[in-house]
Amino acid sequence: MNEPRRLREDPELRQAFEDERLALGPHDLAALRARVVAGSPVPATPSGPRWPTLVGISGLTAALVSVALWAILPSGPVIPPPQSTPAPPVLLVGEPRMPTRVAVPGVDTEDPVEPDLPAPAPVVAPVEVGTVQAPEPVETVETPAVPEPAPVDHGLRMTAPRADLQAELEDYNRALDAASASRWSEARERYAAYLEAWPSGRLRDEAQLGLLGALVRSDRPGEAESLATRLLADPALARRAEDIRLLRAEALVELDRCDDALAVLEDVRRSARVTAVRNACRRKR
Amino acid sequence: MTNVVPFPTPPRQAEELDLGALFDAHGAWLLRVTERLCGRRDLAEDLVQEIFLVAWKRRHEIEDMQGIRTWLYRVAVNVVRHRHRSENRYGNVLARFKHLLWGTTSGADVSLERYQRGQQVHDIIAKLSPKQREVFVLYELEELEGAEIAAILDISVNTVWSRLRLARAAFKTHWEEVSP
Repeated sequence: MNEPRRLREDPELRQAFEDERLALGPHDLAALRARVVAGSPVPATPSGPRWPTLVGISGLTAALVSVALWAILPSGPVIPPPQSTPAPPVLLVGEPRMPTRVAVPGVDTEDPVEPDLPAPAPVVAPVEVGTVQAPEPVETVETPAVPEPAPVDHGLRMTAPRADLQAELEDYNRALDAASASRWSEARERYAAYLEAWPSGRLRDEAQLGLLGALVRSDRPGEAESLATRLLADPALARRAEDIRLLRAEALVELDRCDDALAVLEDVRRSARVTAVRNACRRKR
Repeated sequence: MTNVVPFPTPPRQAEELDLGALFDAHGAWLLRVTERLCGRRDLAEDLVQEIFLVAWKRRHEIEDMQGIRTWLYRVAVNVVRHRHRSENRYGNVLARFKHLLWGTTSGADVSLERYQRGQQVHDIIAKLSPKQREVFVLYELEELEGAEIAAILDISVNTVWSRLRLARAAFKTHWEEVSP
């Protein structure tokens, strides 16, 4: 079977399929690239009832288990721990603890039946459920000073750096989420907080651009203009110069400095946002 | 004549997959196709991130960079399917986030009429069944060939055409309802 003709070749639908592309995006590819390369965790499915359900079920289970334990366990009086510890039996290393066999004069020790005589000191008092048992005394032996043991290697050497990276990405993602939801004031504060907390962070460049965008969109054109000037002088941000110029032009329009804005845009490629700035300047004139 | 047995190529090493370069080459179109398949602008970036996470985990399966585009298409389809299943399992989140579908217009020079027409196409695609939507997006919007779609979806070419026929019929029905 031959390939059927595509719908976009239909004269009635051609325009609609061309316009379909206009409804895509926009997306912040640079920020997404940073997230992908940094390996930041993918947000979970926004499933509303899932967590409350899990919390409810686990809470109910815990309550039922508690009630069941309370009903099953004997409710005898709680014996407080003895204030003075009786003389403890001295156990030698290697001595079997169970069964406790005590040598009593006159009684055949080979008899498997426990003697009727009360056992002397080494008898261990039976432990009652629900009571607090005094800690078993330890024979104090003078031992030479032992040096501190070396830390055990669990193969978790990367724990601290990973935790740092995780914390940094969480800070950045909080700012990014606010910006994505157009909560510009919050985004501005979160980007500033990220830059303050992580002055040499891995996403510093992206955060600075994010802060600039948030300043422009949260009606702080003066601060945005000065930040843009500073960023344009930073050689590390040379490859993002066009984005910075565009944001600076938008800030200059807000400051009623359209001539400066148009001059800034001379080196910027034509795009919808550039046209928007030009149109805004035309309207102001 | 002696048959020369080619020396087996060594498996790709983990460190050889440069995620940054892979994103530069494929990130933009993956974002586009993911948004079309899932119907959610707000979700597309997360799904693309998930696709690259899968690519990293299964990097040893990437035998050559020639066929990686098809391989990434397949991963994208599977990631979107998985997300749809999760959402259906825990309630119809799509309906609750309806207002976020493809957001609002962005470019100042994009006429509202054209934007709305593009939006209508998206809305209709979102109404198709998942299987029809996959074929429709890959053939009509991504303009892939039938054999390639069959390989991506792991179905026969004839199944591709039958699903496409149904998807087109459904699309045209909805289009006639909304177009003036």
